[in-house]
Amino acid sequence: MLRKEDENWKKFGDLIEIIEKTPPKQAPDHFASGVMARLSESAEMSRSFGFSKLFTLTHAMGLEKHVTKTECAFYFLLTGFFYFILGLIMMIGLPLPAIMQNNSWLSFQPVFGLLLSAELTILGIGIYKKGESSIRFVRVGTVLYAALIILNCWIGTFYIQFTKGFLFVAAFSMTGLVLAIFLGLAIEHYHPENLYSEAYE
Amino acid sequence: MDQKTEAEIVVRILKGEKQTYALLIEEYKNPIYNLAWRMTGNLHDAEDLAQETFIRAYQNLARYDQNKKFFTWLYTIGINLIRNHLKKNSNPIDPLTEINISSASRTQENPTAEGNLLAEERMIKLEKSLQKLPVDLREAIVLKFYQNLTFAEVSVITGDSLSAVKMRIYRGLEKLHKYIEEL
Repeated sequence: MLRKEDENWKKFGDLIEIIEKTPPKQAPDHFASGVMARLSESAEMSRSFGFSKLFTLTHAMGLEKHVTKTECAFYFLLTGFFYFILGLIMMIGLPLPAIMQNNSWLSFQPVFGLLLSAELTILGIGIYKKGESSIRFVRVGTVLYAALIILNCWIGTFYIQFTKGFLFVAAFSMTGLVLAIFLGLAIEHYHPENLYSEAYE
Repeated sequence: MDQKTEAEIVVRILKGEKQTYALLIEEYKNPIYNLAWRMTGNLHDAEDLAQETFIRAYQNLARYDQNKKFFTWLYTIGINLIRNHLKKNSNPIDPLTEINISSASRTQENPTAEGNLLAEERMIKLEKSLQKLPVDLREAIVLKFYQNLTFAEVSVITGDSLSAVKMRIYRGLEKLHKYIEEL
């Protein structure tokens, strides 16, 4: 195996030699003074904490900056946890009026919440374990998550025949879709993680 | 400059001795400038990006882990800036003019190379072909062979696994070879 790899590299020996012999380009003489001048003009060293960072929600959700593997996985796991808690609350803590107890769509919602939770957790673990190579899988998973939300909402409209119920379906579905959009943005801004990725903003 | 000296310089800068940063700039200006030049094929962009790299590094110096190599950290910032620049300016490369100017100046700088037209021609072909490579393959080739880094260092800088780095370099060399043959 190793020998085969060596042989594969050997065929590029000449090319590698030319590349390595290429003389390096020298930075202009004024380079260092230019950087120091720009530093004096504008750049201030950032401290480890700033109040402005508390208000960078759009940054945190991946709207502007790169989203690293850990951040991306965290968003998916957090959303999965949200649905897990929601599913549990609906399963054990939501007393339904007698009129609604036989509504099969409503009784399915706790299971649906737990299903979404499982899906998002799998996606989160997938992205954390596999990184960049799982992006396509996670993207498809996010689309599936959004499609399930829409499908669930559409089916819900057939079963819910009262105003408060419609509000619940709408709120549940809209929350899900907004989360799907943010998760999609996080995936679109995915950037390979490295030891120093936090230094780049 | 060894890691200990670099760490001492960083501590002095963090204490407020801003001018000491010039020592780090002097030490790494050529590798960073070269990296930007090989990646963009444009002298003006290369200078801008290299300067921006040092400015970003200065702004984030408080976050630099002094147990790690400074140059790896600096390269990571540089490569991120370059990637971003190339993504925003997906088609601004004018490698023909820039590279021809570059090789002409190189010949003037090094008169012994003047006679070796064949080698010069191969080098020009190589530099033109390099600019045709996809960004991820180009950066792997540049870091490994132009910057003489190890596979492990390239892996840390790019954030890719060691096997992914090796694969990218192999694929990059394959494509480079093909492009040179076509020219």
